[in-house]
Amino acid sequence: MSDNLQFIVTGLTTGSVYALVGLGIVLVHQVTGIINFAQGDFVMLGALTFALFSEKGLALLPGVLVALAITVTVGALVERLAIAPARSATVERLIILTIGASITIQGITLVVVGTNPHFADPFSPGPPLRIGDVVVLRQYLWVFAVTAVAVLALWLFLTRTLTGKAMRAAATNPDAARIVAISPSRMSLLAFVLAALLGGVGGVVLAPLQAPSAGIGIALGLKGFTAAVLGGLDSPSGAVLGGLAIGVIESVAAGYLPSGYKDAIAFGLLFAVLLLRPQGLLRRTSAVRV
Amino acid sequence: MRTTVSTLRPYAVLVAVLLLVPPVFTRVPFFTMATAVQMGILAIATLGLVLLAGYAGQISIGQAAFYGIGAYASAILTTQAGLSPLLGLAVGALLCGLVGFVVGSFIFRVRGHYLALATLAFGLMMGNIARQLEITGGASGIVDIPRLAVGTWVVDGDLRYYYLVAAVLVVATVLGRNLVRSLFGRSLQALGDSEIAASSSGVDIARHKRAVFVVAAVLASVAGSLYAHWVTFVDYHTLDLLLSIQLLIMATVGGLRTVWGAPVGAFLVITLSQAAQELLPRLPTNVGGEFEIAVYGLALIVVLLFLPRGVAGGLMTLRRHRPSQEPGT
Amino acid sequence: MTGPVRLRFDRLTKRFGGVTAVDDVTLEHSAGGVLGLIGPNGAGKTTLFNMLSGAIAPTSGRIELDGRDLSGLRPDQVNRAGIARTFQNLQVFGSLTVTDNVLVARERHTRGGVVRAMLGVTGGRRAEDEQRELARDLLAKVGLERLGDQPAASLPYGLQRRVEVARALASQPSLLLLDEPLAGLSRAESADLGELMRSVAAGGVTVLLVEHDVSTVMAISDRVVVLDHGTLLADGTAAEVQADPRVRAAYLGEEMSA
Repeated sequence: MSDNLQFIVTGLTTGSVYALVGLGIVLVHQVTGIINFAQGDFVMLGALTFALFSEKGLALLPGVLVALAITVTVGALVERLAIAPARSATVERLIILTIGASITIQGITLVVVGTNPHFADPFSPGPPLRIGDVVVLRQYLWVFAVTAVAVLALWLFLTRTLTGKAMRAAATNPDAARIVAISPSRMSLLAFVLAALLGGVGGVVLAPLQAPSAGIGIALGLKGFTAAVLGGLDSPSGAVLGGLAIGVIESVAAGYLPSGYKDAIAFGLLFAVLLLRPQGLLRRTSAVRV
Repeated sequence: MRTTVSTLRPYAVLVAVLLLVPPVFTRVPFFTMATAVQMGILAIATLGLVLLAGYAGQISIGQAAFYGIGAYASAILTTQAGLSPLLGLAVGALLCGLVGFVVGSFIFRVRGHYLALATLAFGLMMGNIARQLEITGGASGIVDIPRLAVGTWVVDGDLRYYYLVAAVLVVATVLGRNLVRSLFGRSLQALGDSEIAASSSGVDIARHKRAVFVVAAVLASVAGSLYAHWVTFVDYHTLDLLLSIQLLIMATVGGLRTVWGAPVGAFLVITLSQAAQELLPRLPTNVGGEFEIAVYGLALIVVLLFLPRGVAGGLMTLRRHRPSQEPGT
Repeated sequence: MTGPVRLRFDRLTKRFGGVTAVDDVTLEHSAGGVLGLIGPNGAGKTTLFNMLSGAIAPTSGRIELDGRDLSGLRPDQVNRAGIARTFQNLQVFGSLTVTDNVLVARERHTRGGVVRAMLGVTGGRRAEDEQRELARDLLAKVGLERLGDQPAASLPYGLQRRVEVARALASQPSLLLLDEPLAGLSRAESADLGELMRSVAAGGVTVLLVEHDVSTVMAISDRVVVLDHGTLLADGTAAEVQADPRVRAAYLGEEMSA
């Protein structure tokens, strides 16, 4: 039993990061209709840059800020250079474009940083906590806390601020949004920046737990997609719940199956969800699209 | 099918170009015959993607899975079951066709982004499984794959292998072009343009998509088998996501809606990445070939934004302004 | 063939979440000719149309063609049953030539699948020539015989619409559905297309027309059905419908005669 609890706790931790990835995907998708294949790479950038600076001795807060700044800048560049010029392209072209963006980011990172993983210090030193039989690393608590704050902040932004409401308006009705002088192009940029920020935050808290390297973005991105799809791709809260669910399922399953299959579980889950219930598990079956 | 001079001429050009490669590549310091073999193999796999993603508009970033199935099938059947390489290749292709048929029966329930994601997940799943199973050699893969032999002619050495690969590429191109120019192929293109209109015109969308998916799978499988017998070694890296992306880039750069996009794209992308490796001398020593994906990504973005028909596609459009040209070549 | 096709809607209903777009519509039409379907915006015309063509499935009720239940069939199955359509927002196959656009609708009449296609053996020369003949005739019928080799996307709007009509006719349907075919056309083009519709109907194909341009519909339709808020409001000849006070009331604020 305590084994399972341990898996669940670990799963919730990784699941929180998946939740952040999924949130970023839902955000961009809602505002632009695009699935951002580079979302996982935002997490990678946050994690890797933070780890690099941590290795060089930079203190926690400056390290976090630098990592986030870099990630957000890349996010903005992706939107401006690859997405904005192709606004009227077909869905197929846009898919290929975001794939292109993703691998460009990975490639440049590889050239600059190399293939070796880098190591980040945990945010707060000290031994892990023991709650009953369950080991809780202090970093886990950071992950939970930061994720909760990020989700709350995003929610407040979308529901309480003018810009946030404008973004939601642009998502539901771009034409009407234009009429009230909300620019879809600026909203698109904002969506990408926020998505990059969310990803970067996830990466920063994840870094001390899993030594990041340039290629971790793919699997993370895919699990984030799965989270978003589970929740129905339109629902931020769905993405959060989906992310947590995937983290737990993956962790528990990995406890019982040979560990190499861990990734296959998430991929298999995505495969199954896409084919059996693409509208997600949370939404009631909606009317057929014409 | 009407066979006229204009029908055969492009093949003549292709064969001529392919025959010119050995004399040129062995004299120019930049290229080698090994490069040529690699280009040929990947062109075969890319052709499948051109048909699937270019004509029918179904984006797949999981083609490496079929490439890998072909490669592993050849490897396993020749090293463990004692089959001759050609038979192994055929069985591998059949197996891939079957897998493609089954997967293609339900993967097209989704479209667009969802489809791309589903194929991505499929490809990654296969790669993951290949790394775990005993029969595939686990993480170490399979070694000592026998050389390919056509009858008593053993295909060893890059030059011979190139001729073999080139011949397969020509055959594949003929089949692909026949498909494109047939009514079936027009229907594929139609469903790529407007699925609802194609369906309303009597085209059975699901069956058409599945059919082209199988064709792409078989082409990837043949390419994978050829690769296995050339390198004589196969492991889970063979199915790497990078390969799926490479193929997509080759198809896009070469031209998604023309069969000539496959060889042109393979040639350009491999040349580009080799050039990049030469021109960036100061690389961190622990970086392998993976950095080239930055080059790929940039090439992709540039092509998509400025040359949406790809290089071969752009050239075809120029030629089409001559009145005797038949569109859809 | 024993005369015009018999089309029947039986208590046809479509609900989208809380909205009932088509509400319990019952209608029968076996007289051939041109049947015009009009109504103010949001009346449910397009939804009805989409159910008929297989693009969406009804929530309840049936659609019958010559006694055969078509409700819930896929669009290609509906096509095989004898219904062809055009699209309001023009869905020509842009990357294909005009002739090829028409030929695609003939694909199911030819033998051979993907393997035959790759091997280059598709029923022989004669089969293909036959289809091309048919395509040429259809293009001539819509006045596009000289433009067969043009990429469809390069044609002006009005001509693209004709490509759609030719493509639809290529299925040899017994019922032709036209979805706002006059949208975006000039007066002259509308008149031409109206004449084309009449000639198609005279040839034995029942034409069902959804349109906003009320005056043209009145001019060419043998029977006019008015839809409002998903239900049948009026049904009769053009003159009868035009005189109906309920119809005038429904259209209040919209032009009855353009």
